[in-house]
Amino acid sequence: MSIFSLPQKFDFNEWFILAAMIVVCIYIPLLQKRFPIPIIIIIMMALFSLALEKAADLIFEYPPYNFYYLNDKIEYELFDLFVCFLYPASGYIFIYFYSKWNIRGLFVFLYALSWSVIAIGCEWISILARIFIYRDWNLLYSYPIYLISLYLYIVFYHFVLLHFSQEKKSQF
Amino acid sequence: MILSIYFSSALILLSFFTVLPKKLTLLEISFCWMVIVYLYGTVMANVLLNNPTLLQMNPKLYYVWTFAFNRFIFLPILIIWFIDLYSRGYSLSIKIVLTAVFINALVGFEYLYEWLKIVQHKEDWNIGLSYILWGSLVWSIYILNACFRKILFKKVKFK
Repeated sequence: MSIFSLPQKFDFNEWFILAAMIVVCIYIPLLQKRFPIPIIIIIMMALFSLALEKAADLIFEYPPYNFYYLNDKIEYELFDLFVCFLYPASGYIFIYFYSKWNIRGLFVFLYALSWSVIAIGCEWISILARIFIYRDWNLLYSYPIYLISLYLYIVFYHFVLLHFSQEKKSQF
Repeated sequence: MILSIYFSSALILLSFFTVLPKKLTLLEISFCWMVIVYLYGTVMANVLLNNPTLLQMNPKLYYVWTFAFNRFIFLPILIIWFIDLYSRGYSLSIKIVLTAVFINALVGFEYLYEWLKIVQHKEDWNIGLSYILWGSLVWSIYILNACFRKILFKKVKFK
């Protein structure tokens, strides 16, 4: 029984994933210093990204559909796991600016719309770096998925914020 | 047909769980749900992609969606219900019975999917693996929730 297979060749896609991880590891603590968000909210939002990503992958990436796969081979490899951890990082940056700029009303729609374009851009770069390998998938199919996910992300953020403050109040 | 049976039974379970008095807060319930979806998803990714001699899924569309529905609603509710009951401070003997009942129920559901032809266990699979899978999944979620609970109440108290 195999758990995680290793990459066939340690080439550009693996280096790209490592570089992206280093960038987010440096960038996120800097943001957190300037505008701290409570750790509970960060944990919940990070988990929400992971769960959402896994939920989508379980339908589209894994058998029987296999619309796309990550990295060198169709098998679940170690660097697929690393890619998973880039989603919470980008989700954190998304919610950080949403919270910092106090986005409300119509701007929420514009904010989610522009972030979906950014997400599509990132996915396009990932295709060039051979992190995403499409079989029966198209970059355009990802757009509505990103848009819905980002809306869900905002809704979930407000849900966590509301219940976190309620818990706080009930303690006093 | 199977999807509608699953859908209605999951709705009944969900409404039953919603009206029950709970020890877990809504934040903890959502935390557990997300951990279950992520961990179970990772395990399934490993099994389906790397070990096709263990388990295979029925490729028909409604079976895929039944399985998805089951992963996102049915199983998480069962596991969260177990954690909720387990956190109530019952005696050790009741906790042992609870653990046995829930883990057997989870394994039983897995074999029910096979009977319903949603998944197919292959030659390398045995029932021991099912017990290891569900036992470790349930206990890791319980431990993670206990850590989360500690952080949550510490934060809430001293903020």
